[in-house]
Amino acid sequence: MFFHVNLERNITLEPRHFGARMRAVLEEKLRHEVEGTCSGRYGFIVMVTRVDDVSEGVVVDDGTARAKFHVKYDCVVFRPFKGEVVDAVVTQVNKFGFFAEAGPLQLFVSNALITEDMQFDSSGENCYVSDDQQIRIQRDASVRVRIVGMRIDANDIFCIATIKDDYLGLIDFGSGGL
Amino acid sequence: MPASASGSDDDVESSDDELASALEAELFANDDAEVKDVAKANAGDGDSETKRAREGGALPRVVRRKAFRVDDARGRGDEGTCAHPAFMFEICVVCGERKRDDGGGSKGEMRSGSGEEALRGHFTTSMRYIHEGLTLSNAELEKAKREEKERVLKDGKLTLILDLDHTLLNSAQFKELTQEQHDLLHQCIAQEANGLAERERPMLYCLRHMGFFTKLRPHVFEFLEEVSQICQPYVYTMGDKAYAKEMVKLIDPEGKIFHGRVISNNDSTSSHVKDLDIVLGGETSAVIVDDTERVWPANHGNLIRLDRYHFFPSSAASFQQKGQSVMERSMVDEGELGSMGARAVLLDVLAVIQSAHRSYFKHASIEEPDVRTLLVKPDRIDLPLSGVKFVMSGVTPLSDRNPERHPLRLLASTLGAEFVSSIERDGDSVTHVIARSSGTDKVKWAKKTGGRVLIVEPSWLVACAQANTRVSESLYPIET
Ligand SMILES: [Mg+2]
Repeated sequence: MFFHVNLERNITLEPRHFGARMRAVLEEKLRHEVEGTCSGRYGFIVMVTRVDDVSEGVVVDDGTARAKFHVKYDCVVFRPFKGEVVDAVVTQVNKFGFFAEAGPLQLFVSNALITEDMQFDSSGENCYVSDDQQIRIQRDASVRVRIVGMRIDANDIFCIATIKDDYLGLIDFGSGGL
Repeated sequence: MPASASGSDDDVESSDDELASALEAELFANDDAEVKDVAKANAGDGDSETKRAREGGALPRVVRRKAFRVDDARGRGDEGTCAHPAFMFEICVVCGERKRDDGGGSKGEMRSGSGEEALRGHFTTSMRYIHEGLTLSNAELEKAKREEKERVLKDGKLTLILDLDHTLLNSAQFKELTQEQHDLLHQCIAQEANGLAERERPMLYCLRHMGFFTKLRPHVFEFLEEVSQICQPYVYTMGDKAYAKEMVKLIDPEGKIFHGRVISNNDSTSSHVKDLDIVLGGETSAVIVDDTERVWPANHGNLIRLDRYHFFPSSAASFQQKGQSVMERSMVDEGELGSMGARAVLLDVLAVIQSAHRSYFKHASIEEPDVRTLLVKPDRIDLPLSGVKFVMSGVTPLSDRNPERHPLRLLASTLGAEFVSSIERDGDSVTHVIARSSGTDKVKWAKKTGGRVLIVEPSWLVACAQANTRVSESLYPIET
């Protein structure tokens, strides 16, 4: 699920940036440092939308003459929840299940949570095929999954998901499809 | 803290840090939570718009269907408790529960725990070579091995485990070679590049980024091509993951043979020995090809132990075989001198595998064969060399303490021939002497029997295996 939240961070700047473009450099550095990162609490920071408050810079007391700024900013975060349904792209298929990515989030769907009519097939590219051969989950396919479990670490989130429920599973074969 | 740490730990807790916890509580309290109200703004809006459009049938390729269900969910027990069959990054792949710390069993524990399956999920094995985060419970591993074995056998294949170093190739670090040797090797590489036919691949490589030279064993491509028709091959090496990956790129450049079935030191359950425990296949249908016997203490019976391949002097020296490397023998490689020089070992091994494969599937429909018996004592009367009793002379190296795992010995026995250890005791029953050259005591003895005992060159065995019949011995006389 996506949220728009206000977060804060300290940014340190080198003295050579203390000029007319300082604010721009500061915002650029903030984006560079936070976008794409992940925290257990807020999930993945997708995009900084606005920098709304920058404190006065304080020169750091370590002889380097760098300055520290306290920045408040708005950003879009992507935080998965147990029970949530997300769309993802399959990245890797093996005998034990398949991996998929929903943006920055890695998910694993084990073969126990794939509907019983689908079997692993490694005769060509690894995939799960339905008994009637109509549905084929392989790399690059789009799937809709429900998150059943999460491992939340300080800077990463990993999810276990299922397609064993109504209206879950393949939604698009992807480029290599039928 | 130095300022250069550029604020990596400087994240300041936001004032609305209750948001996440509040949300979580909300979400778990009632399943169809009013999440829309909670989210301050929903950046996914546009996205869900398109999703809705898709579900409405706007895009024709959308697959929409009800889930297919059999009574019970796989992996789930009757009372809804989870058996935790496997973990991915330490969370159960079925229920999403975090793995408990008491479940980190080593191989030893796993074995001893086989009778206590009731202790669900307690004994687990890491399957890093399949995926870095994957751990399987004992029961699930056994199940996966059984299923994979059946699947592979249904395809008419055996499981084959191949070592890399001294088996399929030989590598030497830059620093182990003299400047002259460096120059010579670069010369050889250039020479080889010039002489290559179309689609032919080089055998000698200089891997600058890894800091070593690698020479592939003669016939390796032919060998892999042939065995992959009748076996599901694995690489199992004591080398590290990066090395294994690089070597597999050389021997399987198109990735058609191993498909990621590469087990390196980092993946093994033990750092000193190799074991079939994490290979998905059964011990009764697995063949191992390795130059080192002692690394397979538990799977000795599956082993074809071939002679070490030494191309670089440093490699031979490290095994007390100074002067025995190809470079020290004026670049004469295996199989290049016909019956005079070293044999093309991989072709001998190929013949053993083909022969074992043939006798495995010949009777597979009636009984379950065991490749371990087929390799040494098939006990069948319908094999090409049934009834042959042989002694060997000068075929296996004298230093060899376990010549019974030598490819040529195994080849003879898979073909149904019986080994006789001593001519003094059982000389009367011997029918063949398999020898590399005349002048040995056994050959002299055979000559005195007036033609009762036939003398053949080892290639006779390979020819018999290829033809699947007893080829005329007179076509394979020894050099005189
Ligand atoms: Mg070796």
